Amino acid sequence: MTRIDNADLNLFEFDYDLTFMVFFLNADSEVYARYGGRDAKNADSRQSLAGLRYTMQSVLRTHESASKVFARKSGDAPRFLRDVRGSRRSGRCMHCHQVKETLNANLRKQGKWSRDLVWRYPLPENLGLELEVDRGNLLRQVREKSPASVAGLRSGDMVQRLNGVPIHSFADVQFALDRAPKAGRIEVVWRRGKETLTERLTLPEGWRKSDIRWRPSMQHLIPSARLYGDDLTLDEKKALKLPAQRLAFRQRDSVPAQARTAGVRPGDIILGIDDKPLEMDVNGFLRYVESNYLVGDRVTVNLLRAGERMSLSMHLLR
Amino acid sequence: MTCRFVLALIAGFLAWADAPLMAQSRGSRRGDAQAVKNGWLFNLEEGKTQARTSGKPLMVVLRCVP
Repeated sequence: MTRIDNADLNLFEFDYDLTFMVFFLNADSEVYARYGGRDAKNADSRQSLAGLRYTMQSVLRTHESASKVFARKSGDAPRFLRDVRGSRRSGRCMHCHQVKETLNANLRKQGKWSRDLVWRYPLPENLGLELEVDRGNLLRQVREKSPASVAGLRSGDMVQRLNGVPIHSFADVQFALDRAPKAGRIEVVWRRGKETLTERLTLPEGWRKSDIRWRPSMQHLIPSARLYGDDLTLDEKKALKLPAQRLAFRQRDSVPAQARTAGVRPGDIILGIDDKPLEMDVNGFLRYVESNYLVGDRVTVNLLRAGERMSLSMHLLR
Repeated sequence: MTCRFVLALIAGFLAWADAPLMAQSRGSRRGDAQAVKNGWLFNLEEGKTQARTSGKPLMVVLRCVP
């Protein structure tokens, strides 16, 4: 079997934007653990050979123990891509992200697509959990004032179960978080020394949001600000009574149609969007828009024109 | 941990490689042969059968060939 379209998607369920994922199963196709995952920084920052070995050892211990715990599946019946409405049967091999694109297209057809589905497989640090790369269920650090910190987790704790999923790796944590609701609480069980502790993590508003710019399946949703120019000098900012770190750039002569339609003119001093005090330069601003908004969002462009502050409504396009 | 123990551990897992691009990449065939030589299987059912008879877990790798 060398084709993803021949794989049972209820068994091999993972972040299909990835190009590498390891599953640990028993002979009855029950899943012990997963290994893999990445973030927007690069493809390898969450993986290491030592980390893979650690997960393998953890799986072997579970496999040999009397009380085996498995990760639940989305469905017991096998589900193949060829059975999903709208899947192409060209006979050619496909990339894993194309599986996700097909599944998402199917959800749209069924009217089940929602904006929340953009942020699949959230990063553990969104809840304050920073995991070691070489020991994927050990907490390297817990972010201050985060849901994990409030729940009582500390650096050095070993996460054993999250949202009902046994945890052996970073990929397991992402899988557990993918199944969590957009608001509410999920159970976390961890080990500290010989003690086993259980608490609930509170999921704050927008907690799933992660940088999607690396995801091939999401490229069509990443917007472009369509605003660009030279950053103001410190003297220019001072003259306009703007803080030195504050975003402020002069829109260049060429104004793309999307911005022109919104009313932006050459020479306008762009100060930001949606009344947020942004401390960055123009290139940081472009990245900020890409990672915080989606195509189709309506934003307010804040600018200065002839010394007067203005706000213009603009639709974000690709 | 000694190198030998790690190798034994890795060999202790049965493997099935599902490479979505492998079948479309002619250049990967040599890699496939090498993988088989190293004990990797390309058939999940065969892997499950071996796992059942040996009592070992399976390590299943899904990856794109660059």
